[in-house]
Amino acid sequence: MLIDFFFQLKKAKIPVSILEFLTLLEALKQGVISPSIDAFYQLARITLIKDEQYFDRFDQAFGAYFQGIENIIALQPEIPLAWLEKQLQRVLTAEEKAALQKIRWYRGFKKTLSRTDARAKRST
Amino acid sequence: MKQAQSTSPATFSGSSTYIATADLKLAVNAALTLQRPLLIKGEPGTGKTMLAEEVAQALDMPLLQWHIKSTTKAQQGLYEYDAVSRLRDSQLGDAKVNDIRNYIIKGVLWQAFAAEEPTVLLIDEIDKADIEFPNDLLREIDRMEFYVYETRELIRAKHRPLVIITSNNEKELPDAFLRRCFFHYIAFPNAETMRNIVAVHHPNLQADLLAAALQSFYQIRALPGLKKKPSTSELIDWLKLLLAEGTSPEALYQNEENVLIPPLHGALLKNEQDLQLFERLVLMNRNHR
Repeated sequence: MLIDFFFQLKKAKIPVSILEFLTLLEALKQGVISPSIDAFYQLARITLIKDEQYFDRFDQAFGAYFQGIENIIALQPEIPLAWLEKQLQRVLTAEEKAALQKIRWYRGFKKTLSRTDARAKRST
Repeated sequence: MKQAQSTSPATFSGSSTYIATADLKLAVNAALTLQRPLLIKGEPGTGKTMLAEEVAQALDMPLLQWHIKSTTKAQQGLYEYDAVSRLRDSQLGDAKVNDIRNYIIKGVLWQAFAAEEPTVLLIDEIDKADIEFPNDLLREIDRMEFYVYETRELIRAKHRPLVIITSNNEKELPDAFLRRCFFHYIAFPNAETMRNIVAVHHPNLQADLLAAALQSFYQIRALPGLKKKPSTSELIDWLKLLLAEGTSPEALYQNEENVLIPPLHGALLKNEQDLQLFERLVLMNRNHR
């Protein structure tokens, strides 16, 4: 786990040791942080970096490593809107559903309005 | 008021008199959970020592402080053997002399190890001591135990204390020591954090006075060539003085036509050369127009 990350830091010529890396894994196991990339960044920095002069290099190595991972997330197919709406229908109260209906109606109205507008322009 | 030690360590989330940034809170909580020392570095006056006091108060743990000087030896934190008293007592025929334990003086580390509840142990300005000092404490801080040769007993910590170590970066610390610590660098607070910090120290400060004061403060900090830039603690003191004097915000306002020396600027700049440089810069600015 995270071995590649460790070697990425090594490659960036940051003095990291195995002991510190194990501490980081231990901290993750103990649930010191909530699962977020920002919290992980801070945790990794306090465990692995012991001199503020390496902060910049750490930022770069961290960015380079996690850039790839964010791309993977971005590649995931988008969840279809219809599916999400169906999910919402189950949670929403009757009033909220009515409000949603109104918004949908308003959007549809605006769309037809712009279409008629465009048509009107073309004809003149 | 004991904290459950291993099951669910208490977490630190700042206090009413101390503003901690998110990463500082995380550092303290990681040190608490994994029971490793926390090394704090940063400019003087950014609240390194205060952190230990606030953590101890917030978690309701007793605070033990060990202030390091250039002459401090690692052994003094463990215990000292008072041979002179023992010699005197033996000449006076005191019965105490038969037990060497009477002449062992417990150091801060021993007190922390022997405490019935988890404590916060502050090792302040560790870089003041010589380079061997942190190395001499490696095993004691790592294993939380040490051996007393005089009485041949092993002292082991009942509860691992939360060790907070501060450094002003006057000397490099040995790698082996650093590897065992969590490290946090207290960066100089940005304007927003600074506003929060000032708010907890001076809750009834007028907003316009604060804005004007902060503006001059950051301007002074941005001046090139200052030997000692004013830091948070200087700002807090300066504001206290401004309040005591009843300074109006107008006295601090400066604009293009009106460059002035802020009142009581001696509280911010404490170096003779810095003061002169500052006054000269302000005068030069004025003459330019």
